Amino acid sequence: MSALRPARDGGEPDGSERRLLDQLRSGDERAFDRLVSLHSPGLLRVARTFVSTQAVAEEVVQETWLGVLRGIDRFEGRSSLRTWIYRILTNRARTRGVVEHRTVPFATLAARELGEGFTAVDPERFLPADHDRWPHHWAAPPRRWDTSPEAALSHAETLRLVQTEIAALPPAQRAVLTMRDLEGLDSDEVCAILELTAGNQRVLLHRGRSKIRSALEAHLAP
Amino acid sequence: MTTLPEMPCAEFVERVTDHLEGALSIEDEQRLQDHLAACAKCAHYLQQLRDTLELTGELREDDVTPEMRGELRDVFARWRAERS
Ligand SMILES: [Zn+2]
Repeated sequence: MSALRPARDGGEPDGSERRLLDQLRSGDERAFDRLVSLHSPGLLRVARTFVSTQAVAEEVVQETWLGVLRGIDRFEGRSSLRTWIYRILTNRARTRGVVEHRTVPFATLAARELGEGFTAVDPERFLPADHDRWPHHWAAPPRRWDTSPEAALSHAETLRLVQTEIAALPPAQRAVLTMRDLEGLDSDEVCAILELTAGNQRVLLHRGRSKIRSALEAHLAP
Repeated sequence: MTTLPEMPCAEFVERVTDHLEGALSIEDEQRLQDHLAACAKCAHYLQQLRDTLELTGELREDDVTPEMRGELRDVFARWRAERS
């Protein structure tokens, strides 16, 4: 594992971040290359949750890097470098979305999703409230997933299923889940980037994760 | 010490993310732990969620296409020219 890769739940250490910033400010292309390798794949996936095509997402990522370079002298380190870069990305993506006429502000999308009713598991799978012994306990418990070589889906197919299900999530859930569970950003970073409260961020994450689990159960344990 | 109300399975599946995030109150965390110790079905559910997280993490690919890398080098060169 490269020393530059951030921990799954944190940013880079302050010392190395400061060094990287100094190198960038002095125009060191290798430092820029390293930063690009570290963050571009994640930036692309997150951009893709805001705009309609991969090509537009790539343009947004390019604009983001230009924004990062142009703003590098003003970056004061009040957030981690990673959070700052992702905030530039979401701002560009939002602007782009407006041009594409497909945006509803992220806050509106999030509010809409949060306002919907949700249960992690079909309520029919629990015993009724008036059950004499086990109210609200499992009637149809989670089915065991078959991941053996004889299983209905191969590992590669399972991963494709997860990918498809993530793509099918409502946009705010998709953005939160992508940042948290694919890119490994921590909850504080995601709240800062998407301007969500900690509670709402958790609700969106919960809904997204629960739906992916349900889909896996439906396919791996039909 | 008063006994805490039991956490049924239907509540467990809605609280499990808050549990993983360390966001439950002390009382609710205790209720969840008590339930988990007594209910193999919910323990299984939690394991499936962990499997789900692991599978999701596997989707992370860290390659930047050569085209994109080339374009970003151009972005950098332009910026450096602007600066000097
Ligand atoms: Zn249970």
